[in-house]
This record gives sequence, C-alpha cells and structure tokens, in this order.
Amino acid sequence: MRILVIEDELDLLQALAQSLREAGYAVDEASDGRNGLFKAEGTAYDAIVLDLMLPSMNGWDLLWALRKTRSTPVLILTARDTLSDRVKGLDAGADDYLTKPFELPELHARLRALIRRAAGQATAVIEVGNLTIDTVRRAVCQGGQPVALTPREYALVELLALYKGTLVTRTMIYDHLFDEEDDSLSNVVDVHVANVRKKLGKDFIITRRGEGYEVHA
Amino acid sequence: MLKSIRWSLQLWHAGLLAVVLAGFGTSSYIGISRAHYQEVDAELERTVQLLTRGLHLPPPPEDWFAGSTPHHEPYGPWGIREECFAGSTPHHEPHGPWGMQPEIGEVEISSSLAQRFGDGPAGTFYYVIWNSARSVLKTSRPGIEVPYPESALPAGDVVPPASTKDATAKTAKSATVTEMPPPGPHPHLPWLESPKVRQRDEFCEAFVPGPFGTRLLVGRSIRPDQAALRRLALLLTVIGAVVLVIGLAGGWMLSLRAVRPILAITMAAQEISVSNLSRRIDASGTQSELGTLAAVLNDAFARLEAAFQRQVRFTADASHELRTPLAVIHTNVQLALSRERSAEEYRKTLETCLRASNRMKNLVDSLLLLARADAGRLVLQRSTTDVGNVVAECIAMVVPLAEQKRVSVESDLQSVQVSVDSSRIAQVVINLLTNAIRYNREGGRVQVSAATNCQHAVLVIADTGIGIAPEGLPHVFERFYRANPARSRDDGGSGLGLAICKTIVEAHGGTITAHSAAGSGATFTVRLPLAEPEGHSPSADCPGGR
Repeated sequence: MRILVIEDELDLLQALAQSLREAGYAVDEASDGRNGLFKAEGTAYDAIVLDLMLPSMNGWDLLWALRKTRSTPVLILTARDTLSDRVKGLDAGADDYLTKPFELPELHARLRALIRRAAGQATAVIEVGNLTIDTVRRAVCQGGQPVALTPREYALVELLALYKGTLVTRTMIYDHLFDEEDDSLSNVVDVHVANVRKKLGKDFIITRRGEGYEVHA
Repeated sequence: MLKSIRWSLQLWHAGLLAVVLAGFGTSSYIGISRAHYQEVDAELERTVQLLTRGLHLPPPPEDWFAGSTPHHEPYGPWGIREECFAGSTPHHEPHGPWGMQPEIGEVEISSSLAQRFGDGPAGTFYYVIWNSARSVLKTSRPGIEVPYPESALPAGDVVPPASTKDATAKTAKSATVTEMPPPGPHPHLPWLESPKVRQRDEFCEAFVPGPFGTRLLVGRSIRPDQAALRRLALLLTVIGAVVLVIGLAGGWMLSLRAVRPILAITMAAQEISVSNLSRRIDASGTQSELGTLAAVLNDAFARLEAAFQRQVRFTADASHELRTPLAVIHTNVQLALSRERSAEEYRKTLETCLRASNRMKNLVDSLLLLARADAGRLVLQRSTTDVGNVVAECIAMVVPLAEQKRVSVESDLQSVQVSVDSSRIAQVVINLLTNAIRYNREGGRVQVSAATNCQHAVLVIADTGIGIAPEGLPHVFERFYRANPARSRDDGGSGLGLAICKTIVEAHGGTITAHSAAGSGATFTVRLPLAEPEGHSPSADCPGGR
C-alpha cells in the first residue's frame, strides 16, 4: 500500500513517513501544497495524509483541485480543530479528519480503514479460499497455520486479496508497493510473485499473460 | 419602583398637574365669587337708592324746623317731596338731644317700589327703615330681626368701591325716566352719598342714612348664592379631579411611550451575552436621543464583539501554533518508543524534540510577554542607553544570517541617548533585522539608521525585499498575522514578532510604523522618546532633525 504524506513541518513529516514505512507502507513525501498536488495527481495512492496550512497552496485548495481527477482517500491531519474547519475539510472531499497532536496507532488504524473501504472491504480480515489475511497484524494464515512472509510479499498478497476477483495490473503493483525512492528493477514483481507462490501454493496467484495477476474470490 | 424613571416622571407630572389645577380652580372660584358678590352688592346699593327715592315721608312737626339749620333749598326736579330734604344733617347723631330730631311716625313707599320687596321666600329683597331713635319705622318683613346698621365711620370716609360707583352712575343714567339725581354725595344731602354694604351671616345688606335721621336698609338673603357658589366649588373640584385623572392617564401613556425604547434597549442589552455578541438593539423606530443612545450602545457592542472575536482568534491561533510543535514531539516520541532503536535514532529523536520544545518555549515567552503587556504588567528595566550602540550590537548578531542569505547590511548610526530597557529594544531591533533579512531577495540590502529629531530617537530599518501588499499593511502588527503564510513556517516565525515589537515600543511610549510599496521593500520606523539630561534642552542640539 502506498501513501502520500503532505506536511510542511519537516520533523513531523519525517516521523510520519518513518512510522508508516515501518508499518509496511510505501511512503512518498511532500512538504508544500503544489508539490503535494503534483504527486497526488500523478500516482494512484492508496491514501493521502494532508496538512491544511501549507506553503504555496493550502490543503483545501489542494483537495478541491485533486478531486477533479482522483478519488484517492484523503485523511486531513491538522492543528485546526474548530468545528467549521472540520466541516469545511470534510466537505471539500476529505474522507477523514484527525487533529494534531494525534496518536500514531489511531492514524494507522484510520488509514487502514480508509484503504479497505476504498477497495470495498468492510472488515480488517480478508479471507481468500483457505487464506486469512489480517490487515491489522499484517499476518497471513493458511488453513489456520501462520505463513511467514516478507513485508513486500505480505503487501503483494494484501493488494491481490483486496482486489480479489479482479485483474491487478503490473503497473498497479508497482504503484502500490513501491515508493518514489525505490529504484526497483522491472522484474522485481515477478520475483515477489514467484516467492509468494512458493509459500502459498502455485495456484493462489493466476497469471494473465501480458495483463497482470488475479486471485480468485 | 420609585427609582424607575417612569414612576418619577409620573409623580412629577401628577404633582405639577395637581398644583396647576388647584391654582386654576381656586382662582376661578375666588374670581367668580368676588364678581358675584360685587354684583349682589351693586344690586343692593341700587335698590337702597331706589328705596331712598321712593320714600314718602310725612312732614315733620313745625316746631322741629325752628331750631334746625335753615337749609331750605328746593330740589324740585328730584321726584322726592321737597319737605323730605328740609332737615339738618341727620347722620350727625347723636348731635343733640333726641328731642332735636324730628319724630317720624309714618313712612310710605310707592307701590311700584313695594313690588320689589316681596314677602316671599328668601332671595327677594327686604327693607327696614329706622327712625332717628333707632326704632323700626317700617319693614317689609316684620318677622325678621335686623340689627340697626351702625355707621362706624363718618359718611365721607367710606369710599365705596369703584364698581359700586359705576353701578350707581349707570343706575342714575338709566333711571332718567324717574328723574334721578346726579350721583355722588351732596354736602347738603348726606343720605344721597353712596350706600354702605355689610354682610351678616347669610344676609347681605346695603344701607344709607335717610332724611330726618332715618336709616334705610335693603337686604337679601345670600343663601342661594352661597349654595350656588358651593355647587360651583364642587363642580370645579369634580372637573379638576376628572382632568387630573385624564391627565395622569395621558401622562402614564406618554411616559410609557417615552420609556418603551429604554425597555427595548434594556432587554436587547440583556440578551447580548458572550455567546450572542452579534445581536444589536433595533434603533430604527427611535429618532430621538434614545436612538442616539441605541446607536452608541450598538457601536460599543460592535467594538466589544470585534475585541472578543480578536481574542477568540488569538486563542485559536495560539493553540494552533502550540499544537504543531507538540505534535512533532508526540509523534517522534511515539515512533521512537514503538520498537527498539539504535542510540543514533534516539539521539535524532531527542534533537527533534528539543527543536520543537524550543519553538514552544519561544512561543510561550512571546504569549506571556503580550499577556503581561495587555495586563499592564510589562516591567521595563530602564536605563539611559545609547540606541546607536544597541543597534550596532544587534547588527553584529544577525550578520551570520545575512551572510547565509547573501544580504548586505548597511548602517548609519548616530549616538542617541534614550532611557529604555536595552534588552527589550534589542529584541525589537533583532526582530526587525531578522525580518528584513528573511524577507529580502538574494543579494539584497538592509539599510539601518539611528538618528534623532527634536523629540525622538528615530530608528529606520529598510529592506529591498518582497515588501508588504497594501491590503496587508494595516495588519502587519496584529498577532499571528502573516502577510504571506507560505513563507513563515520553515523560517521559524510564529507570527507574533511584529506584534511584540509594537507592544515593546509602545510600552516605552514610542511608535512603530511600517511603509511599503509592494515589490520594492518595506521600511519600519521606530520612534522612541528622548532621554532628557538635566539642564539640557533637547531641541538645542537638534535643529534640523526630522
């Protein structure tokens, strides 16, 4: 899962990015409004964490501009806590609102909720066949037995499970699993797919040649 | 209740109305009753004069004339028998022995005259004629006891009232058909002098001395008149009471009309509270002084609301400014504690927290300074200081920042002695210098001068930077105002710097102003009152200061 954090307070931006990376997300950073909008429009993020008071373009304007092209889930993270600010932010197209200072576990939980709702999932546990994917603990069980996966492998399984029954293109996998810092080689997805198949069975991931991958519902 | 305007208005109104009505009623009553009694008197006088002329006195005994004064003049045309006048001055009694007076036994009255004196009920006239011996010769009402009218004063001394004289004159003129004598007392006919009037219980009587020592009296009961006057008094009282009641009711309505806007203002003002400061008094219907009052109050409420909103915004801004570094600390600490970290990572977290807490400390210091200044408790450690030196020290402190931004600082500093808190003034100068460098363009200049005019030390700090937009210029000294919010955060500004400058300068009794044409830099001018050394006129050595 790939998240964009737009925050002008650098110390906060770095801490947020690090905590999200440690939680297994691919994280992009932007420290002003214009740059944030550019990135948000250019990539299909799973969620965006947005500060409101930003240099060069404030958060409301950014959201308004972004909503013309994308419906990416947006969580507003701001020190502005008045009712009118919250209403204005949500009405501008935000999906959630959290005021500073905030608790990191809460931010993570809200982001998970945003991401699974955007994919049409209602619960934090996804079941595919005899696989159970716990998105909170980031753990996968097969027939009740835990399966050890690397973070990247887990992210791939989670992405495919979230969009189970539909085609997931290679571009989508690249967009959702790797941030802008990753200098990933073109065959890295194939390597991860091969590793997952080794651990969860050959038939778990179906290859659509020339299009992408799919897991059955 | 007595404190209410309406009640005091009503009381005053009632008092004034009552006094006016009482005065009017009393004077009306007195005037009417006096005029009425004068008319009664005049009528009695006319009647007694008619009686005098209508008397038929029998001739007195012949021997009476022998000893009497021989005034025997013919008064033929007078319609009274001549012998009636052939007597001495009869009112000079007791002038001699009773025997000297003629005894008159019979008196006759013409029938036409007698008709005037009915025997009827009270209200008609009665007459009494006494002889010189004070015994009643004739009376129209034998049953009534009428005391003999003593003439306390000599006849000539009793001056009848003017109206009586007039009445007499009129009677005389109108009575020419009966050939009345000309009015006024006659020296030889003293009984023709004006009658005198007396009041006796419920009777009013006019009397004149008649011939031969007789005395004629005409009277009538004034009981009906008194009753009429009592009715008049009652009527006046009732009318007065009715007018008073109507007047009071009208006054109550008027005072209600006058007080209603005040009540409306009071109610509106009561409804205006902290949670509802935007309410205003409806002053549309009142064009009077109360309308002005409502407008003044509305103005005061508007200023109160503006001040309150400023306070609310200030509090919100302050909490916002505090939340951001707090969020930095909170998030970084949570992140560091979420798993085992290396010493380097902990160190980095602590450094981040220190930066954030420094920012919070500066912000809290600024807020505290502003709060103290607002409460009038900003303590200034004044000492006589050379402002030029202070500015020079400040420039030295900002040189590293200027070099970093490649901004040159030029100064023209004169020695100016002022009594200031030098550390506070240094705070102002550093703040202004930092702004001038921070908001300058690459390779720009900052020009600093310290000089003096006749009253002030004048510090001017001008930069060649982005300037301040005209719409932002009036607000630059407001708390948390940022001309350009984009540039502030990464530069570490809190939005309080210029507000603090203004507070400190004004605490010193000085002024700070900003001038800018957008795009061509900003100029900040600080004026501080000069220190006055003893025996040294400040204007003596600064003839051409600005």
